[in-house]
Amino acid sequence: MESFIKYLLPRIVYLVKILSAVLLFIMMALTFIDVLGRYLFNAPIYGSAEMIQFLLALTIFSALGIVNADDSHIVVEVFEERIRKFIPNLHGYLIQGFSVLAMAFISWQLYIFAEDSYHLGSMTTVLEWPLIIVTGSVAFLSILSLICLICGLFVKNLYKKAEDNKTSSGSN
Amino acid sequence: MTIALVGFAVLILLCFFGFRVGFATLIVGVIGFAYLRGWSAAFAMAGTQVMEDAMNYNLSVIPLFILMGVFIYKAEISNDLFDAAYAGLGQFRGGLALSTVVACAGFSAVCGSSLATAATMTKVSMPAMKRYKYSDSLASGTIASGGTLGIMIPPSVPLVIYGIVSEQDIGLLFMAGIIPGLLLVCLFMIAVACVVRLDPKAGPAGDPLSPEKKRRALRSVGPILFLFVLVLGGIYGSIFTPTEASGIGAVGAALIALSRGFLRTWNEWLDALVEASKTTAALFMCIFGALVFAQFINLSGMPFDLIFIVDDLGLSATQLVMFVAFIAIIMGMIFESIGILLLLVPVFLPSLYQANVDMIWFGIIVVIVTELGLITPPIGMNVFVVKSVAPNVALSKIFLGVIPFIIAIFVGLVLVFVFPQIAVFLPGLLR
Repeated sequence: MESFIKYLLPRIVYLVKILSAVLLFIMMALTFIDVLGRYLFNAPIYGSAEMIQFLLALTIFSALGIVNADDSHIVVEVFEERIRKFIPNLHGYLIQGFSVLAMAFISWQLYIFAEDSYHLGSMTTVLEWPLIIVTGSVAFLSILSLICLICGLFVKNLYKKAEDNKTSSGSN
Repeated sequence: MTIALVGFAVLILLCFFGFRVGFATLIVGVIGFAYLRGWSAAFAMAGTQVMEDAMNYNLSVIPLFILMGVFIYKAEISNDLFDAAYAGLGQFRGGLALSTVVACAGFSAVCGSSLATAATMTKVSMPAMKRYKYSDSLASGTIASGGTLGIMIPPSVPLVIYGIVSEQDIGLLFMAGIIPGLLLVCLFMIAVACVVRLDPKAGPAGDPLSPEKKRRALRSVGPILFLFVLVLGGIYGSIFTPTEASGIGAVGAALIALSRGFLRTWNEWLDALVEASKTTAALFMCIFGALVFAQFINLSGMPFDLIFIVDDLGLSATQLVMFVAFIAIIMGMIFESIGILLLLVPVFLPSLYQANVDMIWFGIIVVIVTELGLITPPIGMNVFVVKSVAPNVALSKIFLGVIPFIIAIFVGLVLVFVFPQIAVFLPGLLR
């Protein structure tokens, strides 16, 4: 199991890194080309604003996998260090458990949203693309980022355990 | 109102305990909403809110401006900015600190992040100030404080978030940030001048540059100036929307980086794009959480109860803004700028509208206050950034060094408060 997670996590993270980078690049290029097209050739890209909306959602949820994998979310650090010293294990389990719970909740709700848009046959307003393409991809990426979070915490705990063992054997 | 206050108390406790801010605000928001309307309504609200925010066209300005900042950061342009500022100011007493302030302002004009500004300028100006035997507190204090200009001088991510939360025009907010930003630059320079007047050894004058070096230094910042004018001018002239301007800015920043020999390999591009998307994702997690939480707060009726409380207390618009600014100062000691904007502004929004407060002016006031939070203890993010890049400088010296600048920011706050025209003059020309 350990070796499987150690094998899986870097590959998922690399995949979402490439994906988020490509999506963000397309977003930048699309915005730029749209403005150029409008002013230089009087031919803006049809539905560019809607495409940018979709790209934004996909960029966020693909990059969320990277943030989750190394747990680099925004934290208030005023007392965290002191509390962690006081109850290191309990603190870790509570924080990690809560993060997993919250991320699972978000993924679940996004999945339901995607499912609804599929059953209702919702279409996007301007381009009239099936909405499920976007909502489904966002839900999938959200589940992927949940997997990154769980695997990331698992790997972090493995390293921590190894560090603790090293420290205790060193002190012995 | 009680349930909303309980929600806030639980949220602050969770944040203090170390729970991730985005997750904590989202879950507290969902539970609070469920308490008032039931679980199924709360779940549906959360899913819809997250999906809609993730696909909000106006919010797409955030990743693109972050990307622009990352490209500029990678282009290592800060050296040129510092040299150009030094060319004009270096030979005066405290000249390197004055140059640092101006270079920070220049960097802020193309990068909306205070932390990036502080981190970059520490690498550039700290060695120079060490060489000229500047006191550690003046050197580090100047950089930490100069970095705060990043969130005031447009393009500024906090101003974008404020614009989204308060439904104000982002272009107008950017325009409103220009004069207060320049005012703060002047006040920071006065703060440096005061410090070196009291203690001349703290900041000796630098060696003058040769005319050729001066010309070269000034020429090298041309592209930065052009990019700033293009982005802001485009918004000002209604040629681009802020989102389009951010796309143009990001491409322009990439071209500058390319012209300077950076972003030449796939890995360099990947690093920059991943860094920007990662920052975006972490920020959006907080935005999702805060907007779900705001739904709960709105449902609790707290913002509207506050209207009656403000009425009962007979608070004038000015007193109300002072009160909100005071709370923001307190919050600045706990939360970072985004947290303040996302949690505080929605609560007081109806009261501020009711009191006919100019929301553009108020946005600038709140951002100045959050600037304070970046350099005041116990968090003072910029102080810690400077410390991490220059580990040999004692934290106490950095906090000591920022005191003159805290006073300068307070003076700036009072000036913008007493003379709102400082903030609303430029947007007034556009309205």
